[in-house]
Amino acid sequence: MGLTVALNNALSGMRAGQDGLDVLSRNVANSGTPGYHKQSLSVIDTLGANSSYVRSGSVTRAFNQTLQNHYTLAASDSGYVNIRASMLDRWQVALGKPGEAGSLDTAFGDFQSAMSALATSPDNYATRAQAVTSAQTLAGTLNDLSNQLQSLRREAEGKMEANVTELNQQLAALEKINGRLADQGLDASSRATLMDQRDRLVSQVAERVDLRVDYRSDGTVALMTRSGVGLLDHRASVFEFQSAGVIAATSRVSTDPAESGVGRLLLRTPAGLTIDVVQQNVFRSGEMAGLVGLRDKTLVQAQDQLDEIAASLAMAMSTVQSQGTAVVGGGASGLEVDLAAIRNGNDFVLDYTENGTRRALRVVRVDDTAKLPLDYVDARGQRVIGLDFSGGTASVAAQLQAVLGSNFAVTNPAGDVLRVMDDGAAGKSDVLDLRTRATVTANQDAGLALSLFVDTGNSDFTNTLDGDGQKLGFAARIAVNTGIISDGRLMVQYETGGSLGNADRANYLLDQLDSMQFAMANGGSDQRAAFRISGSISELISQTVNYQGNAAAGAISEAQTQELTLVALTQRMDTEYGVDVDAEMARLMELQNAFAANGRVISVIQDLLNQLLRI
Amino acid sequence: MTVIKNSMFPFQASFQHITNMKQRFDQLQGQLATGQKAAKLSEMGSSRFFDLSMRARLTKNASYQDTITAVNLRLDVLDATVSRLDKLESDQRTLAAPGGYGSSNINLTTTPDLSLARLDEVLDLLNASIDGRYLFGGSTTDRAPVLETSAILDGALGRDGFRTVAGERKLADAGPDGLGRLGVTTAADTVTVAEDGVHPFGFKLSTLSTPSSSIALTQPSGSPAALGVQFTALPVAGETVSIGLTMPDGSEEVIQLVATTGTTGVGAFQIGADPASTAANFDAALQATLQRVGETTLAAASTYAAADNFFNEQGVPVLRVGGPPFDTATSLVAATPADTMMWYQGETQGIRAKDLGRLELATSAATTTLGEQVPLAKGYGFRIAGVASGLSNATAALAGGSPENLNVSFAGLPNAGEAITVRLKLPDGSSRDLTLTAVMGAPRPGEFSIGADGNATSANFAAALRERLASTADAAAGTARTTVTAKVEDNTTVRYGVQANENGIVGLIRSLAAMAVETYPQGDPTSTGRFDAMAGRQMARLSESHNNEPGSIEVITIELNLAKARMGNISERLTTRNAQLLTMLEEIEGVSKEEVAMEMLALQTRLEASYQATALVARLSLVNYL
Repeated sequence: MGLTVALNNALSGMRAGQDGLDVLSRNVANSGTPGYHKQSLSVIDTLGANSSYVRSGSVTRAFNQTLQNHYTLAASDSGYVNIRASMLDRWQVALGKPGEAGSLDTAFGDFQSAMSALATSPDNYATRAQAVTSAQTLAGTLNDLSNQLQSLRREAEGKMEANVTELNQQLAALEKINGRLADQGLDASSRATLMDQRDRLVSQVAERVDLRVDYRSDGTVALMTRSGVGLLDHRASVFEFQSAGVIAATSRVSTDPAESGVGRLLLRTPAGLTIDVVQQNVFRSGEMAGLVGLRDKTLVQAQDQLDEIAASLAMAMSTVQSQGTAVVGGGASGLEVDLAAIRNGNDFVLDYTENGTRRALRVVRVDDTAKLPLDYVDARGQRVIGLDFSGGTASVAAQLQAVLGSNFAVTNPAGDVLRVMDDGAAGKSDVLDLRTRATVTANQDAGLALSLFVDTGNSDFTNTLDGDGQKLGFAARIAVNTGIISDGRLMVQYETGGSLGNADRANYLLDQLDSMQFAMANGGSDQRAAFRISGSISELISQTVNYQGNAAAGAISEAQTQELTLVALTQRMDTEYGVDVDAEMARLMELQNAFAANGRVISVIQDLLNQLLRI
Repeated sequence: MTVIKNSMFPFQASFQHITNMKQRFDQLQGQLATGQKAAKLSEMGSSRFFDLSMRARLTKNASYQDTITAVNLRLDVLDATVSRLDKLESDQRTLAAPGGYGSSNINLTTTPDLSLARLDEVLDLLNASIDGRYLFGGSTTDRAPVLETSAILDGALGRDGFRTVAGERKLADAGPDGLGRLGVTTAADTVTVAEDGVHPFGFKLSTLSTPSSSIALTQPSGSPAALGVQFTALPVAGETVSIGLTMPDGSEEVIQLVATTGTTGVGAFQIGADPASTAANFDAALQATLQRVGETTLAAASTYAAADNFFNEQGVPVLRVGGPPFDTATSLVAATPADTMMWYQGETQGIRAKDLGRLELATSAATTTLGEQVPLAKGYGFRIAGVASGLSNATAALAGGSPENLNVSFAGLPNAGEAITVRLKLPDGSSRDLTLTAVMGAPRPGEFSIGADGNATSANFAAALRERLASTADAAAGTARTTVTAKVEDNTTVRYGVQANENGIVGLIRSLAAMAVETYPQGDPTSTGRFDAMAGRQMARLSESHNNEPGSIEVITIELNLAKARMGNISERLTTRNAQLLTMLEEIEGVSKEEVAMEMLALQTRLEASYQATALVARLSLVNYL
């Protein structure tokens, strides 16, 4: 034991104090830095050969893996709900509040009022012009809403593309950090900084993609999605986005990449494997999952509902219904109807009872045989089948006979006439109603119906199923017949040279708006659970507005809930990782005192040594 | 360094709370300013659906109320116009009375002028338009329903007006010799009076009577009809012969000739030396009387008949005399817009209930004949389009001509349950099938009973067919009221169409036009006679006894007022319902100002407290005390 030992001890105390100050100053300086985890220095008393001095141990970085995992999870969910909330919020603003100028229900209400005024004063130029203008406004509102929807979808895709670039950068950065962390020779404080950076990057990735993070003992991380696809192990996977051009209402996602109208999102693993992320449903949460869902489901469904409204509007105006005539013969009774007027996509409806149960069957003319067989139950519970009309009415009768079975007799007595007879005396079946619903062929002299709303190129909307189906994206294309825009008298004159005072057409159209019922068809398999609207046009509109409002409200409230979770988590992280400046200050005083005390020890030792030397 | 999301720690939760409170404060401010609970669709919550349906209902109600306002205005104008028409009708009725010539026969001069002025007014009233919409043309509201007085009376652009048409009719009725298309011939003691052909013109012989035993009568018979008066002996002075004549307008006139011994005056014939000379005297007296009646009563009846044909009512075409020559004309023809002024330009029905829709039904022995009424006119009446017979022992065939005839002959008895279907075509191109089934016993509608033989069955068949035709015509005719309708509630439609060719209005116009064209010059010996005949006819036609007929001015008034009353009730109901809906909507959408103000106050307190606390916490740092 000697003075030198004491001197050494004091010096080691000062060195430890300096190290402590170093860590402390870092903590204080970074107390406001996002993602900075507080560090602490462990001090070890070391027993020397004949002394017991102190030395700085390792710098420890505050870290709690459970908390971190929770946070990663919450960050993904928050990314998912936030993007949905912000997109749907904008969509609902576009949709407008009920009764607001420019909202869909107002436009429809105005159109109805204008038609009602037209029925009262068909001879008045101003009312006719008003009716045409309000029809244009209605069509314009649908076009506008459809365009807004598609621009939201485009935006979603654009955001996906941007996210892909950022994700790739972040994964590459993480790969680099992993490499450096694996280097054991790194000093402790650099490690801590690198790990801060690592955690920041992980949470950034987590916001976009749902993650499962594997923290390894050497400080490196491995990332995989919750669905189990590895994003980063030693090497990072690479996301790739393949654009499919500008998104329009007709661009739909498809399992067949050649048919898909939307951009593809691929993941290329270091092993060279390529996965179609959307098809394989890789993302369960995170902003990317939100964007994919919006682009391929939520906004598509909204478009479907708008299309249904547009199609119903066009059909309500342009459909000529003709009732079947009664036929009696051979003890059986039934109805017959002429199918000549039925155009591709038009239909006829058969109401019947079989074994005491009342049923309705809607038969659609389908020219595109690729769409056959078509057999589904629509949103109102009515069975709909598609038949090929190319073989003439006799062939239609044979096909219908096969569908209806032996309790009915379906024949083609002459021309295009289709006759459906019940089973007569057996009494198992009855034919109640048979009527065709065909699209009117001309603006005048073809009945009271009017092709007021038309498709591109002023072509009639017959709801054909050919190709994508005429209904798909019709809301974006619906327009008012140019013939009627240039001659508003057509709103009234259903016969050439007819009186302008005759309100028959206006009354018919008005009645059709009220009474004609529509039901959304079955979409693709992914839309089976989708909300299908049905009813009169006004009901379709309120169901759509209500449904979309609900969806937006749901997304927004989810986002708010998620935010609360995130706040709670960050508060905990703050307590665990955050720098408490007060504690640091107290520690600073402690260090200062210790330093002063050590200094005092040294100065005393020096005094003592001086005295010894002076002897 | 990438940008770090600011939700990452260290993160001041208190800041987030303050931000939230600020946002809520802004929201409340918006609510206070707009009075609306929600600024966006999603904020409306569960009330969204009710809001939508209530708004849809309100919009609908508003459009119904607009309709009611517009229709009420029209009904007010209609009411005023129809009331004026009623006043004109009663004024015109009292204008002229038989024998009422006025002092110095002033009425003879003023009546045509006054009638003309009234006709002017009536046509003006009928052409009343409101906001460019004509009210008296049914649904043809875009052009004036009737022509101007001068065009109607005098014609224009080479087309004949009423004066010409009435003049032609007078010629046709009077005949070449002024005897009203009758020929009077005497052979020995017998005077024969005969119509000069089968046509609707002139006198029609209907009755013949005498109290005298020395005169043998041959009652009017045959086609064309003829009658005979044979003086078997000399009649006693004072004995009379009465000949009943049917006038072209359907009225009856009896001319009576008295046998006298002295000088003969008007309506008397001298008893001659023998029956032959008496017959010759009778002949001369009859011709003189016919001529006189022809110039007065027949002329008046002729003018009215012309008015009936020219001013057509619903379901009847405009008819005029086929000619020239007119004095020997034998038929009426349908006028065309190329040769005749069509007084009425509005909407009209092609079928009227009255005459089986211009079909004629006749039975002779075992054959029933259904024929189209002549003259055929485009746009009026049923056409026989086909027949399908399943009757045994009977033939049913179309004659194939124009006008078409359908002959059904019962050679024997059909079997019960067998049916025959006659297809009629309507002027609008649609068709109606009339099916009659043979039954034993009492028939129900749509059936005819099988009689004892073919003749009886044919008669039963004709009766059943007549009944079916009448109901079909009735259904096809419709009424003027249905031509213009307004939907004023979901399930309520008011009908308020009026046509200038409805019975009451057209009757007034006919009378006014007839009275306007018939003039009574002071020097004309027939003036007073014609005036009496015209005045008498006018009084009968405009009498209040027609008020209960469909389409009379009174019936129109009542029906329009009923429509108005109905709309009044509905309008009241709509107003009440709207008020209720608005209140409910206010409850859903609106926000109570007091509530908002209270919440804002509470929020302000909390916000201030948070600011203070945050500031305090921020100041509380050890750093400050070192």
